[in-house]
Amino acid sequence: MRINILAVATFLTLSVFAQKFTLSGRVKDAANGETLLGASILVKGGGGAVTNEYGFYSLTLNPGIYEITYKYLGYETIVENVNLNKDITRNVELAITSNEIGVALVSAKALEKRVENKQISVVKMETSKIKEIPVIFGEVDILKTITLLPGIQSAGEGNSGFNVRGGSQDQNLILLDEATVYNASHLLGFFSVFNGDAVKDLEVYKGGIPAKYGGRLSSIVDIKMRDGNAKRYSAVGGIGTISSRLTLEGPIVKDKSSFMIAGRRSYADIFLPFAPDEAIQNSKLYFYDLNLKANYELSDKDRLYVSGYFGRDVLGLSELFAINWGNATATLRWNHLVNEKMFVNTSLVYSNFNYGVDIKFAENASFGLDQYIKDVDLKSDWTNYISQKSKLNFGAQAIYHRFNPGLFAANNEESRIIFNDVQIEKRKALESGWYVDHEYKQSSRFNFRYGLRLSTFSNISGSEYTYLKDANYKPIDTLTVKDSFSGMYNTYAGLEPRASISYNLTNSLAIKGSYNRTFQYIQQASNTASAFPTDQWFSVNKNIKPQRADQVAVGLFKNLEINKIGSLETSAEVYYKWMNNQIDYRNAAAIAFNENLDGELLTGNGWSYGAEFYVAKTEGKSSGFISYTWAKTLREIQGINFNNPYVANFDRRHNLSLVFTQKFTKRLLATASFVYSSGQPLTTPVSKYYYEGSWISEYGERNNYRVEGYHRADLGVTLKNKEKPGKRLKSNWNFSVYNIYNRANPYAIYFRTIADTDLDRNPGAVSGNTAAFQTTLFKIIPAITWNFEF
Amino acid sequence: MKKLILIISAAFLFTSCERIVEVEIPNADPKLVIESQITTVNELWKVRLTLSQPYFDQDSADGLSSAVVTITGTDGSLVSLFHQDTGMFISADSHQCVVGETYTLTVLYNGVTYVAAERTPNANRIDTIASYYLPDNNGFIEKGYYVFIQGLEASPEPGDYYLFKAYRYDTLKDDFGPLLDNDEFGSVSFLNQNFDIFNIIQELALGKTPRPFPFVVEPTDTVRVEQYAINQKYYEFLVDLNAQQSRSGSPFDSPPANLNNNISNGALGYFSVVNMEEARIIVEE
Repeated sequence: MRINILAVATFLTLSVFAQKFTLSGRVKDAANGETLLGASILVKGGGGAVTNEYGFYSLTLNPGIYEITYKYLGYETIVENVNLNKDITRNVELAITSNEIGVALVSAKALEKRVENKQISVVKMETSKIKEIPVIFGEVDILKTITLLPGIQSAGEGNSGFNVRGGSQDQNLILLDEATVYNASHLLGFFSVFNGDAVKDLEVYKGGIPAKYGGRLSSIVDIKMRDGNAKRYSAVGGIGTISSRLTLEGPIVKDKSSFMIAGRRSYADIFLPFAPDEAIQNSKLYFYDLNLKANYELSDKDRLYVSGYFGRDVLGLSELFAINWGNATATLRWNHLVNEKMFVNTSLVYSNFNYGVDIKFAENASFGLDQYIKDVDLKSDWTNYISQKSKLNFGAQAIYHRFNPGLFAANNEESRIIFNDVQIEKRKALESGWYVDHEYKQSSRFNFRYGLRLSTFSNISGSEYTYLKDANYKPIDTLTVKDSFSGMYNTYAGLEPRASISYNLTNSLAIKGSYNRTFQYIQQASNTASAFPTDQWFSVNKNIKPQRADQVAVGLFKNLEINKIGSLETSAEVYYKWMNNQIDYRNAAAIAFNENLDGELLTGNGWSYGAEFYVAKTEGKSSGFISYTWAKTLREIQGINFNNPYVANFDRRHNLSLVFTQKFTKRLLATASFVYSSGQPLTTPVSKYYYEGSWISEYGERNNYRVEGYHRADLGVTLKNKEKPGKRLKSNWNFSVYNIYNRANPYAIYFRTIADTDLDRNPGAVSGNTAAFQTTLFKIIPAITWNFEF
Repeated sequence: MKKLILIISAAFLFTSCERIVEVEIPNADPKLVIESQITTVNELWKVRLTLSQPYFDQDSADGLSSAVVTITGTDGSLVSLFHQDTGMFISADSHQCVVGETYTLTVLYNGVTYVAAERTPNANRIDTIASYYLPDNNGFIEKGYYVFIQGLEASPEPGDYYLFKAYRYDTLKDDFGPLLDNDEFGSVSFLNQNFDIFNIIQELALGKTPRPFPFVVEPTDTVRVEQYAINQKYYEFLVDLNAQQSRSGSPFDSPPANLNNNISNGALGYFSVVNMEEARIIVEE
């Protein structure tokens, strides 16, 4: 507490007594007018500022003449003298460093700066860094790349999403231009929904989450789309064997306003007719998505942004059955400069995630099941650049949620005669957040940031049930009591303190720590073997209390200079996380189309801890990184596993990733990567018995066994075509191989009786015996893409 | 919905990359397994006793011989069952369950007493058994002759549970798994009962739902249908059993779960008391 009082006192003193002036403006890319986030504005002799997500900076100094340096990773540095005798607005455009190879390049930033800038438990990827990441299937996949980093673990093939420090997949808040993206992957995890050409940068918070963000327990993934080229029209795209993509962008009013439109479509399913299996031949499996963005500069002080995303996945099995899901988001933003020191952004955001199943048994037996979650979010975020040392962020947001838990409806008139439409009661809720966050740079050695978020959640006019449950936690139907409410009810509120601190022991060694508390009011639970995008989202209510987590993390960051290798960034972090009101379903829960879903849920505690190590080489012809995580995540839920703790399904003890990029010539570049993670926990039978002519399994404790580890290597080679003088077209060929040594990684292992139909594929098997079966999803997959840019 | 999901899992795209693997899994101590069903039909009562065994054992475990097995009724009647062979314990005389009465099975084995009790449920009477030709040929139903039964609701309240078995020339037709049914849905009914589905059973009165048996038969075939009115607990046991048997490694599989039964002291298996009725038809052209 003493530190806080000191800080408040300090900045009050500074702001009241000193006569100072402010240097402010925006930093942009000279080639396309894209604003640059995270560019440094350094004052010779100490101090400086960093641009925010709209490229805005503000620096308040005593009157005088200063040498100011504008720097951004991968860009030419500008140094100029500024006579600060009044408030000055200075917009700067930085040019990309001329570099023929154009990849894996880090310049300008001094090593010690890097140690200082890096926040604990935060991963940042800037525009230039995104372009360096391994290219597989012809395009960069930012979400896949972050799962290679410590503490962030891919949910695995065939699963959408990822797990952060022992949290479940629905505990990640994924924001695309501030809109919530409920499903972040296409083709069952094969592609992420984020088109690499449309993304400007990305930040991931595994811990030390700033008070600005809330609503999810484990992590925040904040992705910003590019604004579009404000200088000239241009196009980027790729034509590949798995998917193709095209991005068009250009000025609406040169240097003032621009647009960008990016689309993708996969067509892996066009190869399905060649499959030997008839069921596969008639299947559909594809995705498409579209990113749109436009901005307009109303005045020096005001700027409007409109952005949107639309994406859809379709998985169909002949005419009989189809399942589709997708996200649509729209964001309208207004940047306003109240004065040189006060920046405000107000956003109105819409997000819709819906999923449907269509079943057609016959012309007169065709029906569908539809579900959705729709949000409207109004928020306003303010930043007061009090001084060079002190920055105050505050704001508020309100989200209006609408849930459709299920509409069963006939798809045509003939079917409507047979099938009644059934609608499970729709739900509405209001979530709000209010925060204050203070960033304080006490000296070049010592930084801290602390904040407080107040979050609330209320259900709006609906009805709720009270359940009486039997010994197996099954609700006893006849005693279910229904109450109806009008207006807001079940209001929950939570105070979420956040803090992070950083101390530089030497120029190249820093120790950092963070604490955060988070609440989560809407969630998803899966009753199937793997999490699926169509798992239902539902809110807290009378029976389900908000989830809460507390996390502490401590880390050491060290930059090394090693002969013949070059400079290396290294870090080590440890964390511990406590989680309350974690949810799971009771055994044999009925969840499909169940109005009383909350009656099937059980809640309990979870905790996770781990250590994360990272070594990266970002400069030179050879670059890459090694990341290793040791982690453990446990749950203890009444009614599951005889009330004993058990490891969560996504517990993976060891996670290792190696990524290596080599530039051979100016035109030839190769990337190789390898991942290993411990196997998935599994509940196996511990015995069997014969009953009424068949074998029945008797299962042991929850997750009593661990499947063999997952490992895979990928290889990508990019060959640039020669550029013709005077032509704007640049192009390259990308050849990639996924799972190069054709490893049959287990997707699922399950136990059953051997049938006659299994005998062909499994020589030596005896029909009628019991065995363990393994399914595998993706074996070796080669791909070729031609990428272009003009 | 459960049935739909089964169709999905059966056809799931990637299951073709499936093979048997060797895994080393833990083994639990053997437990007593009780398999017994007594019915409203007058017959010898039978109980089979075995032990559970390691999952990868090739041969099934031998039946037990030394146990004390009795079944008592609510009226105080006591029937003793005696060991015959391979774990089978059989009563000396025939007996028959009475609707509404509760029967208690007691097994004393290895110094431990295992108890299970069930009440004989009420049942619909099978009203009609008939065969019809369905001319539609689509992904779901092949064209051909089908057997239907219909009955009157025993009680209008939800809470009736049924298992059906159909035999064509004494061969059990169970290609689609056990035919289980209940009237639990109540107000949430997908099927509009005011309509006759395939324009074939015009004469059906409101509230009567014909039950089709999902296999094609030929004229002159003899088809025998058994209807078992069962208790809710046994119904759930069979549903869970079926879910366990149809696990296919697809993402729609439910997590593995043990079956809840009605036997005390951790014994496995089930002791069911059912109301059984049968009907027979020779398919006509």
